[in-house]
Amino acid sequence: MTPQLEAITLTNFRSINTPVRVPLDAPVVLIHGQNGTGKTSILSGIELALTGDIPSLRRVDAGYQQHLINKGAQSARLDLVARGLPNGRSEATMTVTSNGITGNPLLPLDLAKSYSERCYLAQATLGKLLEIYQGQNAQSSFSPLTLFVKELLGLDVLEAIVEGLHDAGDVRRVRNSVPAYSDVERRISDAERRLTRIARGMKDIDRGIDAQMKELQAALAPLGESIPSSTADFDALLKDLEARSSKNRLMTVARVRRDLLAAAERLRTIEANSSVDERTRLEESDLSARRQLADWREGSGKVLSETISSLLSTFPSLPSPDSTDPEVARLAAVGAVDADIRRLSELITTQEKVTSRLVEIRAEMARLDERSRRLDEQIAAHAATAGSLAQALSGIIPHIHSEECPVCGRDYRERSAIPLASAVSTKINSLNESAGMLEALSKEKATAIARLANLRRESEKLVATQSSQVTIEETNTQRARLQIVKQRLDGVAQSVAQATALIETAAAATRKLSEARESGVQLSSLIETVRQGAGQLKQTFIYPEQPLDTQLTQLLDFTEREEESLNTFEEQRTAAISKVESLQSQQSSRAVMVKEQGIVQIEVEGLRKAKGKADATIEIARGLSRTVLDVRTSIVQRVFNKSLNRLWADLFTRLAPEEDFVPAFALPRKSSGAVEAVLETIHRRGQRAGNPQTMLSAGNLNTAALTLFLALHLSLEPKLPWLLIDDPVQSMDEVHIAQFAALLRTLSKRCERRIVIAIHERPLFEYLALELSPAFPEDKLITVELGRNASGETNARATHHIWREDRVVSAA
Amino acid sequence: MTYSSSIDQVVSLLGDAGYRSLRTPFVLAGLQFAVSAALVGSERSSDLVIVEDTVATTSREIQIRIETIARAMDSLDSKRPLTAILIGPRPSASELDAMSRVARILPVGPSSFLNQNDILRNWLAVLLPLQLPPTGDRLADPLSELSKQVDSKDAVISELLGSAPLGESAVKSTLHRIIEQDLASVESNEA
Repeated sequence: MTPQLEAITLTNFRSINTPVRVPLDAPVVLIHGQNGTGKTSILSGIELALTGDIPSLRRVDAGYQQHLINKGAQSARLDLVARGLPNGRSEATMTVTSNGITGNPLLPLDLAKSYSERCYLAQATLGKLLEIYQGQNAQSSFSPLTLFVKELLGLDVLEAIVEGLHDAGDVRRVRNSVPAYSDVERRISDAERRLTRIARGMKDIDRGIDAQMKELQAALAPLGESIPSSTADFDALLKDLEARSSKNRLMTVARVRRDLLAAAERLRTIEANSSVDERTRLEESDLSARRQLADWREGSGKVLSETISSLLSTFPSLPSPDSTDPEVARLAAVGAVDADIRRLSELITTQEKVTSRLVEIRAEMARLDERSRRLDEQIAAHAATAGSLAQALSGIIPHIHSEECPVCGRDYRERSAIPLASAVSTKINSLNESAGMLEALSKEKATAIARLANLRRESEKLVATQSSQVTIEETNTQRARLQIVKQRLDGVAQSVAQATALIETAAAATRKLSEARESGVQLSSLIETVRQGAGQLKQTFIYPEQPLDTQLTQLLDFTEREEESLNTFEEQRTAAISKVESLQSQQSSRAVMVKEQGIVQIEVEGLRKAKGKADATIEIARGLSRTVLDVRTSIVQRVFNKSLNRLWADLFTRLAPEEDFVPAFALPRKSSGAVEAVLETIHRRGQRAGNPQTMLSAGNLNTAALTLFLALHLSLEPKLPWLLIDDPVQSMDEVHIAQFAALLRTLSKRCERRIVIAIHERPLFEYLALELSPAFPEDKLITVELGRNASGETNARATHHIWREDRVVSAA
Repeated sequence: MTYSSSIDQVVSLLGDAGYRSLRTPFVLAGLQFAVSAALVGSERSSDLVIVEDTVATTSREIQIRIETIARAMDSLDSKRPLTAILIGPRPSASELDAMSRVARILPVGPSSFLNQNDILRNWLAVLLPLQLPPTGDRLADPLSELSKQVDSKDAVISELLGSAPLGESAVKSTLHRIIEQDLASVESNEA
């Protein structure tokens, strides 16, 4: 179903001050009213209810929303009814308050845009349409006209391709945007470098192998070997060389040589010991030492022995001079005797000290007894109760008021001239003094008694430790006896030292003699050693035909030569082995390089293939990009020429048949670069001329703008086949108006556009009402006349004109 | 071109556009009008078109005739729009203004000019049906035109074209992806 507007009710909207309902359900609606009665209000109200915005007002005043409410009202309201809309909606209510516009406009966003740009031509817009289209101070590639043309031609998709393939135009951009590409390039150059390096390395290694072959040949010659013909035989050669090792022989020779050297050393010792003279001398020396020792034992030795024996009763553990070193025995005895003399001396001294102390203690005790007795006498001189009596008398003092004794009642004056109170006080003082003296004496006595007790205890202790006179005497005797023994021991000291030396001499002589006796045995074992060595060396050994030392020397010389020759052979053999091994290692390095070369070669080929494929894609993209530009150019030229320009020229010509310059879209001069919708004029004879704004009169410029609007509207699929035009004829002359009326009729009756036109001129309104009258049965025209009543309220008088059969033609 | 052939030309042009010729002189509200030609629109067009020759008839007579026809139509309460095509020298501006008050006047000019630059067609355009270009969402289908120009079977091209409707960045990322795949495909063969 074709989308249709049904009616709009405006309440307090802009210049409309009462609720006004405007019917819109006709192919043509003509709205007439004097200026200020609300024609534009109705059209802008329709736009607001459809789209939620009024761009034509916004262009003039961004804050236009604040002026939508009629003066004197609090809020405005629009109720629009339509049908057949793609989104299925049929009603929209918009409320305008001081807080803004609320409500859900009737059209979805894309249709709203389409309506504002292609269906509604506001009066304010018409005069500036070309400026608006061409953009103010904007680059023509971004002018609204260009954008619209691009959208119209669907060039977005082509531009998306051209822009999207921009990278393909330059390999540097590809590198930046596709890191994998530069990565592959880098890897190719890396791999090529590696191949160069490997080739160089192989050349070096081949040179090295040649040189080493020569060296190996030289090394093998002395060993009687030669370079095998095939590389595989190198292992056999190596095995052979390993097998020819002389290490075991060398070790045997070295061991025999060590044995022989030891034998030579021992031979020298044996030779020194083994002479008969030497043995005789040793035997004599031994005998003499033994004899001297025996002499000593008879003399000084006996004295020592007896002395020590005499001590055994006292010191049973003393060593005997006969069984050990006599000096040791002597020193042990001296030590024991000295210690006992010291002990006895101390015992004697202690007993002397005890005796003298006891004498002192006894004298002291006698003195203390005397002192104690004296203290007792003094204590007796003082009354024991003096203290308590003094206290009792002190209690009486307050009762003495006269010379009369409060105790006995006698007059004291009878006894003394001293007043009674004084006499009592004197007595109290005397008693107190006596009490103090008594206490001091008692303390003194206690001290004396304690001192006496201490002395008594000490005395008892000393008496217990005191030895008897007999014991002390025995001790003295013992000490004297020991002192004599000590003198005797000291006396033999020198002789004992000599004896010790004699014993050592005898022992040494005996030892040497025994060694000399052993040498004979050792020599025969040594000869056996040398014989065995010669056998191991496979040398002859003829003893005793040749002296042992001569043969030993010959054998040692032989081992030296043998070792040298064996060592030389080992060196050559080891060198040859090392050369073979080194050669083998070089050859295996070469094999590794050959393998690596193969791998890198395959890799670089793969990478080149990959890059080749990518490059082919880039080339395809470039080609595509060029083709896109060509296609775009051809589309632009075709559409401009055949569609847009033809339609625009047709529309323009209908309104201005006499104008020689027809406005048109200029064809792009070059295929690359941005598409720009630039306007120009073309003379009817075909020459291109300048921009319409410079070439056309004001009236025709208006016509050009109006027809451009219509051409663009007609170029699109009529999703909204509506044309709402606000007073388009204000600057048209009558001829133009007549033509325009015919065009409107064509658009309405033949192109099925639903048209709403606002007109302020009465004659023109009537003319258009006639021109746009219903022409066929379903056709209908609504005229709305706006005005104000006596009290200034807006009223709208709508007339529905329906088709009636015309009698003119039937009459004709 | 002769005078009569100019009238014929007008009649022929309008006839092609669906106008029906009326016999002349035609009668309206009992009055006879001896116009050079008269045509009436068919179907959705209800125009009454008369053709006058300013050489054969004076401007004054033409003006009176047009006004009379208009009045006759009014008396019949006809709503048909009236158009008068004036062939021959153009009447004065004041006469044209007077005529224009009651009818659409198309002063196509002297017949000797009519063969030049489609002047006649330009003047009559307003009476002719409007030839609209075929409309779709758009005036062209660039992608399918492009497809005809390139090897659409090529995998790269078809992928790139496929991403085009999604915009520049989609094309860009498709290109990048294909290049990356090219670079990766051989590597995977290698492995």
